[in-house]
Formats: sequence, C-alpha cells, structure tokens
Amino acid sequence: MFFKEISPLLLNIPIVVSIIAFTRYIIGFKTWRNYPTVALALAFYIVAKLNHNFIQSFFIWLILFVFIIGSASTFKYLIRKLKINYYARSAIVYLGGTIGAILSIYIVNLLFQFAYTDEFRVFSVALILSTIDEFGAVQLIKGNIEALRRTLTSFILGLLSGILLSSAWWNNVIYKNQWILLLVLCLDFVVAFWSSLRLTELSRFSAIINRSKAD
Amino acid sequence: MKLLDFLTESRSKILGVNQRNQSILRKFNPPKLRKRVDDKLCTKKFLLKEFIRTPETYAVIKNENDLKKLNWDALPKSFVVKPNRGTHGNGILVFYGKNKRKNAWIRTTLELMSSEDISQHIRDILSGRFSMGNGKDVAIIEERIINHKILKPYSYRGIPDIRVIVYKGFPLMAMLRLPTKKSGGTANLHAGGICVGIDIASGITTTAIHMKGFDLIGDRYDLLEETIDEPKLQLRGIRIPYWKNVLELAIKSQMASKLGYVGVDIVIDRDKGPMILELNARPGLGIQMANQEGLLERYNLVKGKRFVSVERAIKLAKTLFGGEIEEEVETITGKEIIGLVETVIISPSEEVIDRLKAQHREKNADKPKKLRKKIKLPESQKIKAKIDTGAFRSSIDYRLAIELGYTELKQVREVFDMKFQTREEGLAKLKEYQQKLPNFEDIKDFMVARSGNGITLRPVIKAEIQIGDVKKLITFTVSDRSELNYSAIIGKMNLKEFLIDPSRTFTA
Repeated sequence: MFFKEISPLLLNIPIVVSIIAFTRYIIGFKTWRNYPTVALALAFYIVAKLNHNFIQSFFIWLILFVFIIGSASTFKYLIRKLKINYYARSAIVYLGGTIGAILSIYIVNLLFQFAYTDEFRVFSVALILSTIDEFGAVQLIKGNIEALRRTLTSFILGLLSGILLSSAWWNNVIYKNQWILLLVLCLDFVVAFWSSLRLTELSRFSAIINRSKAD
Repeated sequence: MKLLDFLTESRSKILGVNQRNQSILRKFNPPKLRKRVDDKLCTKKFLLKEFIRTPETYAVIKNENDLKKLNWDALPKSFVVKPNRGTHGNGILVFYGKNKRKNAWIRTTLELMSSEDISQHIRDILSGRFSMGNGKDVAIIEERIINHKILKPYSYRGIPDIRVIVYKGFPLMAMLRLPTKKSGGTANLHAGGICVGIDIASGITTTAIHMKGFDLIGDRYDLLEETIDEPKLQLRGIRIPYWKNVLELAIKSQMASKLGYVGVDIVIDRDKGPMILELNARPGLGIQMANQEGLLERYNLVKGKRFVSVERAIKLAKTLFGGEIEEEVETITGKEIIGLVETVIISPSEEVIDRLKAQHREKNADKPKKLRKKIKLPESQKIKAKIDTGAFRSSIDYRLAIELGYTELKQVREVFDMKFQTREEGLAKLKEYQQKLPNFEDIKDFMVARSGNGITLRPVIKAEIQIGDVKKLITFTVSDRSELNYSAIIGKMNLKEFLIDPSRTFTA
C-alpha cells in the first residue's frame, strides 16, 4: 500500500480513463470525451453511495440521464430556427436541461422516495447536467446519428465505470493492492502504441477484407 | 491462428484510424502545419502563392465591426458564407439567387434569408459555433461554384467534390462525393451523401457507397448502383472532367501545404474548371470503402519512392493504382487489357525441349553414368515486346531464338542476310528452303515477308508465350532484329484474347 487513508475513488479515476482509452483504441467504441464520461460515472457513484440498492440506483441514474439529456435536446430542437446568438442559445439549452433535472427529481422522489434534499445529492444531478455541452457539440459537429451512438456508448461506459467506482469489493481490492495502478500504467502504454485495426474496423471494412480474400 | 492471420492480412491492406494517426499523421503532418490547413484563409493564401486556383473571396468578416461595414448591395446574386475553421461542412450557407422584391437571398433549400438573417448566422460563426475547438472564428463570403454539366445530374441541390488523398506527391486514392436530398446539399458521407470511388488511371467512377442506418458498432455502408434521388442514374462509369488537371492540382496543393499526407477537396466549376475547395490534414478513411480497396497497401507501394515531377508521379500512380475499370472490362469481355509495349515471357516449345533432351541422351549414351553431364535446358526469357496490330504475324530476333534453344536456326543463318528485290525472287528462294524442311524439327516452315527491311526470307518456329495471365503456343517468324528497339513483336494473329489500350505502357 503506497498511500494510506486515501479514498479508493481517487485511485479509480485513472482506471476509468484507461477503460475509456482501451474501448476507444482497441475495441473502437467512440464515446464522449473523458470528462463527460467520468462525470456520468461519478453521478452513478453518488446515487449508489446514498441509495445502497443497486437496481434502484441504476433506475434513478437512468431517469436523471434520460430526462436531462432529453429535455436539453428538446429545447435545442425547439429553438433551432431562431436566429439568436450562440451562447444565448446554449444558456436556453441548459435551462431546458435544468427543467428536465427538476422533473426527474420529482419522478425519482415519487417512485423511489429518494429525496434530493442536501447538496451532495444534487451534485449527482449537476454532474449529469454538465454533460449537455458535449452532447450538443457532438450533435453539431458529427451529426445526429453519431451523437446518438456516442451518447449510448458513453451511457454504457459511464454505467460500467460507475459500477466499478461504487463496488465495495473492488474498492477494497484497489485500496489494498495499489500496485494495480502500475499494471494500469502498462496497459496505458500498450494502448498508447496500439496501431492495429480496431475491432470495430474489422466490421467496418469487412467488405474490403472479404473482397481481397476472394481475389 | 486463423484470427491472427486474418488480422495480419487485414493490417497489411487497410489503413485504420490508429495507424493513420500514429504512423502517418504524427510523422508527416506536424501540428504547426496542420493548423495552416485548418485555417481556410491561410490555405487560400499559400495556394495563391503557387498560382493554384481557389474560389474567389468577396469578404472576410473578423468581428462585429466588419459585419456592420459589410456592403450587402455589393455582393453578387450567388455566394457562399462559411466559417474559416469549420468542419464537416457545418455552418456553410449557399445562396444561388436574390429575390429583389423581398430584398432577400435564396438558399439551395429555397429558403429566403434577409441580410439581417445572414448577419445572425455570421455572428454564430464569429462566436465559434461551427468551428474546431469552439474558439472564436472568422466568416468568409466567397464565390459560389457553378455545377459542371457532367456532374450536375448526379447531385441534389449542391456541389459535388472530388477528394484525392495525396502522400508526398503521389495521389493514392480518389473519390467523388455527391450531395443528396437527405444530406441537405452537402457532400458529406455522414450527413447522407454518396461517395463514389474513382479509378486513378482513367478518372472513371467505380463502386459507390452511402451510410447504412444507425449501428451502435460504428459506420456501416451500403453499396449503391444508382443515385438515391430521382432521376435514378448509374453511378458507375462517370468520367470525371479534367481528370489529369484534378490530379495535378491535388499534387501541387499537397506540396504547397508542406504536409506529407493530405486529403485535397476539389470542385469543378462550369466555367473555370477545377479549383481547390479545401485541404484536410486528417482525411477520413471511408474513401477505402468507396473504392473497395485498402489505402495502406497503396501507401506501402509508394513509401520510399522519390518524387521527381508531377507528371511522373501521376504516371506512377496510374500504373500502380489504376486498372479497376480494366478489371471490369476484362470481366465483361473476357479479354485482358494490354498496352503497346508489354513484358512477355517467351519459352521454348515442349517439342524443342524433347529434342534437346533426346540429343543429350544420344550424346551421352556411350559414356559411363558418372561421366555423363547434366543437361542444361534453355531458360524462359522475360523481355519487353512491342504489341503491333499493324503486323499480322509475331516475329522474334534470331539471337533470342537461339538462346531459347532453337539451335537449328544456325544451320540457316545465311537467310537473315538475304534481301530480295522482288517478291518472285523471294518465292523462288522459299521453294528451295522448303525442300530442306524434312531436315529440321524446330523450323516448321519458311516464308517470304515484306517489312521495313525490304523483302526477306524468314524461318518459322513455334514457341510458348505468356502475356499477362494468358499463356499459349504461337508461331513466330525469325528475323534479324538487332538494330530494332524490341527483340520481339506480337502481331494481331496472336492478340485475339486481348484489348489494346495505347495509354498503358507495360503490364507489371
């Protein structure tokens, strides 16, 4: 153990980012950038920490995610034809996301009696809210389909990372075996120098591969 | 193991994102130079220095003050507004006319926009809404390209462009990008446009793709035969206008950018011809799907080759990467395409080999086994031969025939020095030599031929020849070709399996 009395949460952050890098460069899943994906994972961690019931935590997190992103996207769609300044447009989209967040808090309270009374709880909502910009940017630059794809993969990766962050067993393992971080560093280097085709590219270019085989 | 083989094989042909970024972009496209091409105004500037044409710039708006000063009345009826550092065609507005009554410009989508509406869009550009890195940006108002008549029917309310990937002066791959109704007038594949591969040698389109619907795994493509929108037009076989100029422009632009690996986007204007739309320092890899070919294979073929001149680079690219159209023609006609000069392999016929073996056996029959020498059979000769549709028969040089084992020719060596004044004179000599035929096995006949050398008498032999993939036994007349450029010519009698393309120089 190198560091004593340190939260395993901190030790887990580089692991989550390594997972994002691995899935991007070796598997080929494109997600949002690191920060929004980590923010989703942290939001799940907070919900799970306060709730203790995994299934319930998942549903609460899912409702927050869908309502915030959904509401922000709806606002963005509604004002798409208004010829207004960019940052003002962003502010309106954020307002939409906040309305979605308030709605989701009511629904979560209604369904699971999980009240967002203290600031720590609200912080999970704020973390998801902070990902709105990323969704909008991907949508604008890469188009709707790519934005949807990246949102889904970020959702999956955020969930998996969130589960990892909130797993008591894993936190115990990483706390007691901090050398795992050295392994993670090695994995980072493997990923850093990985120049082969990504697994998804085998599917993307399958027609060329099959054609050259036939030749 | 099978998976490993599969991965290794795919790795050697297809360029993936990881390898593109690590082995090519990082190596040949340093960030400082990449920034130059990400900036469209800077690109225009350095291209102009090299006299490379780009769409004319009407106005550059850097801030609110510039926007206020903009003289809207001085703008022509049609123009384009675009962000200086935009990506994927975002933020581009194309106007093709003006409604004078409403004092508004007409977009390709038929939407009317007043100067106030356009100003608002320009403000969005200035705030960085459409730009890389989301920083502040500059808006450019420039000339609208007018569709070339050949490409116009294939594109839906937009301008098609040609993307050429150039590596250190060598064009590797090209595709035509066509706007569709779904793509809203942009030629971007991700937006719903169509990408059509182009045969580098001929500038004729080959296979076409467009994006499949949503797939979580990643981009998937459908092969297309026709345009998506009406009227349905065949996408294969479009001859790109000004093809040689397009390749020249692409190479010159890459050289001017100083980047090693560039995607050059070229548009063809109805009146002005090809011009550079923009350069891309991180060109996408979908071009491989449009061409149904791997980029890495092509990159490896030119890697390490020295750039000498634009003409030679184009010639090399055409030789190395062309031929997709030829393959199709070959499939349809069942005939192989060859050039006017071809590398051919000539081998002695089996009869000659058998005779030489028999002679060897005879010679060594009396000798004890240990003293017998091993037979040295003549080897096949790889030579460059002239494909001559003006000649009926094929002809081979006397010395080459001897090397191939036709040693009987030495017995009639004198015929190669004979020249006749009249055909009758030659025919008289022919009769004399034909009487000697029973003495020969390899010489099948003699004939009188009229050529540039006059009227001569020639022995006739049979030898095996391989041109491309076609191998067959053919008849050659033998003559003295020591003063000619090629030691063999292939006449039309032996070219029934081939189509001749004069622009090709040899088959690799």
